[in-house]
Amino acid sequence: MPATPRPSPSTPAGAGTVVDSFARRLGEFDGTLHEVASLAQARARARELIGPSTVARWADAELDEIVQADAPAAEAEVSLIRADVGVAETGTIGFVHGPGRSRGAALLPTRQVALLAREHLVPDLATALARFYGGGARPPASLVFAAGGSRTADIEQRMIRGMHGPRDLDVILFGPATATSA
Amino acid sequence: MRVQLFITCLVDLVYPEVGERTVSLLERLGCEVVFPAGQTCCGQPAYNSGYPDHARPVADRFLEVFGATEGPIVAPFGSCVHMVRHGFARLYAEDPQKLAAARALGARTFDLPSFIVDELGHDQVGGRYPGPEGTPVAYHDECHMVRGLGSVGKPQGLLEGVQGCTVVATERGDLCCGFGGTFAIKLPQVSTAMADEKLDRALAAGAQAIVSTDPGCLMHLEGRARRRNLPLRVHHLVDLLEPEGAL
Amino acid sequence: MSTSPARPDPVPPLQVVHVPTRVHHPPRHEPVPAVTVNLHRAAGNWSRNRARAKTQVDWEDWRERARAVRADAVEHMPELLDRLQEQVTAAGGHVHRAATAEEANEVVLSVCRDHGADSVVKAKSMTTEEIGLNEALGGAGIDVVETDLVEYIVQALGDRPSHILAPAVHLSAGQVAELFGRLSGEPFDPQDTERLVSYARGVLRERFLSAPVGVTGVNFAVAETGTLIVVESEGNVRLCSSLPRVHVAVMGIEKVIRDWAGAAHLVQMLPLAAHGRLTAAYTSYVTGPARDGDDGPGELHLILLDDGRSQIREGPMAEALNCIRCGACLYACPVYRQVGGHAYGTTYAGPIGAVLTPLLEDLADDTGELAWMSSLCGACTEACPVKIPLDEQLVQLRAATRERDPHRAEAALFSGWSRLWSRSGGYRATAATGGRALSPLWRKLAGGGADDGWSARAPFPFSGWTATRDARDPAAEPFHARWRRHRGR
Repeated sequence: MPATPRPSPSTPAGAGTVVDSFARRLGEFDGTLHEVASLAQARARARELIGPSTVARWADAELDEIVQADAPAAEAEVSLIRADVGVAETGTIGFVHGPGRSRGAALLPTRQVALLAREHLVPDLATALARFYGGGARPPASLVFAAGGSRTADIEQRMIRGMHGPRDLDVILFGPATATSA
Repeated sequence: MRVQLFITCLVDLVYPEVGERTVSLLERLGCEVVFPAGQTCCGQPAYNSGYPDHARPVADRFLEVFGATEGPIVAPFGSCVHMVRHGFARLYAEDPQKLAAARALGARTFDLPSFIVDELGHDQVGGRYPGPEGTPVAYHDECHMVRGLGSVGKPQGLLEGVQGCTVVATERGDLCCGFGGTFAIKLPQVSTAMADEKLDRALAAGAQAIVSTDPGCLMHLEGRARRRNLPLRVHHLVDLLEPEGAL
Repeated sequence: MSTSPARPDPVPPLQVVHVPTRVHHPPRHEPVPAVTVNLHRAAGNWSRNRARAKTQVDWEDWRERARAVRADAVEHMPELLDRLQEQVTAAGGHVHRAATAEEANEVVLSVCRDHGADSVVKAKSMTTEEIGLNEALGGAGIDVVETDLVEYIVQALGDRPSHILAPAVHLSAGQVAELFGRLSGEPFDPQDTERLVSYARGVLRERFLSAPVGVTGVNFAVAETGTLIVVESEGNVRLCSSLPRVHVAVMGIEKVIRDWAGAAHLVQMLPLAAHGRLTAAYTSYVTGPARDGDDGPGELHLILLDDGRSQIREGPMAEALNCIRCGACLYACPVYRQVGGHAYGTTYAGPIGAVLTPLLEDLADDTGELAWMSSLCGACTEACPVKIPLDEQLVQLRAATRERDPHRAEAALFSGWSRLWSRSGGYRATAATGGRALSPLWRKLAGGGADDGWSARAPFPFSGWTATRDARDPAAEPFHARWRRHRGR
């Protein structure tokens, strides 16, 4: 089979760390990055961001101890999920659906709060994709990369946000820095 | 340096003074200008209209006339150079011998600004605006020169060296003026709307004149400006670089 | 003809044109002022976004890589489609090969019947427009709900989309407010975008949650793992492919790509070429139906649509299949910005539409005439992220069209011209006639006027010119005669 070209990773805009790049790109899509040192602090930050709003959450253990009650996805105001990967050059988070990680809970609420472990933040998309589609493991049925909030710019080129997906995305980056994410 | 003048049919028949100024300018820059008298046309009108078989005999004549020459071939019209460098490759795709001849010719055929800047090494060659001192002028890029001949910026550089006018920048200068050869007659309303946008943007930038290297664009823009009674003069670049040029 | 660009009304009159898809209309060649201001704004935004894109990556390097990935896929299309089918099937999906639009529609209909579905939710897809899916489903009594905000509006208005990516470039907020007012019985303020969105979101949310079948297109399909990739900004494709029990994905066969190295590049090149950003808001990667406690669709159907693509692949313009539907050529085109997408009268508009449509239709239905909706300026070729030589292909299509349906008078004109101008003698004789003999005649036909080298009227075939422009007279003495006079032979 003929060789296919390897994509050249783009240079993250401006100088700085992978986290700086991630924050900047996330911001371009109106997302917000919160950096905390530990999971405990991440949970605290999530609580602050959620406030009294109703929440549809995934079953991931990291998301415990944040809210008392869980609302149905179609009625909840906030989606609380854990991201599997973050991509610095695009400012996107990636997550896989599965048991305890319902589709509706990630899609229907107007706001989204996502926890992302620092060790899962990678510089570029090719690296991120290789985690799911390399090495012979079965590909996930559904993997989604989300950047900031939903946007439509169609009526007289006005930017409309939150039409069919969360309009606001808060990503809480937690945990110790590693060689790849520093 | 001896150069072959590829006059192009439109300059020959409708803008001969552009040809005269081109010769005069090249001679001022130290060239010996040869005019191969047997030349006719590059064949582009037929080729662009979907008649490659009718374009080919005319292109054959070009190969014959200029194939018998040596050294650089210079044209005051980029679109024709584009035809020689790119269109001929399509016309002669099935004929390896003529394709090779076309490639060889294409490699030494130049539009006037690129020739002056790249081959003669002059970014500016002086010149004077043939009209009121201080006239604001807008430059209009010939589509085939910026896309396909790599001449971005060269005519503008030469224009900067001209005394007696100031250059104003227009927005969306990259947009086609709407001439497009037979396009101007087949889709006259769209063609005219495109000219109007070009002219209105020049006026909005404060221009009182438009300069270009494409006689097709010049005919189209000046023709429309006249019909609308707009206060805009239209010139070929060489009219400014060598205003007194004559044979 | 107006002498300056028309200033459009703030709320232009509603243009409701209900047109079934799959029908080609003769292209319209007039600028549409009501549309123009929106088109200019959109094209201006695109132009700025493209400038930004070039600061983020080595643009020409990226273009060449993207071209190589697409060219490899088109060249090896049959083998890659087989691999794709294997992989999607192994992942639990159903793959259907549809040679024609009718076959594709039949698959969707049969899936709906099997599930007793009387409605489907649908995300924007030019491929489904191409095959006339909405009409086929509507004809079978199945309710089709378009879920892109603007597709929904366009559907409600009965209008046709104008652009591959931004269909309501020609709609105004006033029209939308009026429409929602009619539908809901309550007044809507055109400036209150939030409320307009909220209304649409509410209406569509209800449909998402109740429709049994969701239909989407596909941007790329990775043969290596059988993964379907969908790129979007709004989120409704995710909803259509996640909430209903059944997901039907309709894909032109040229969208297959070989592997993840290529996919990673294209999935960034697409938003970069379209919007100047390295990502879209959402990118979904679907490999088979939901499994093991995932609450997504338990059934996935992939329809591989040929509809003329294999034929294009075997011809001299196969590069047109490289297209990744970014829309850049439309935004770059100086003709499109004056007339809009409706003027092309086809599913695919702009430069790529002018090339693909005649190729898909094999020049039937006068689709070849689309090749003349161009001044051959080359902006499309320059803008294309996968280096399709669109301007060259337009010229090739002109030749193919004239060969198939000769215009006798025009052919005779060029034939005569060719005979004369392939010889110096013939060329000079034309010049002499034009210059010396015809000039006074020309003057007369032009109705006299100032002898300043310009005429207000020109004879056939140039009269189209002088309707709106003065025409420059041929010179009394051409250059070659002046040279002979001053410089000798």
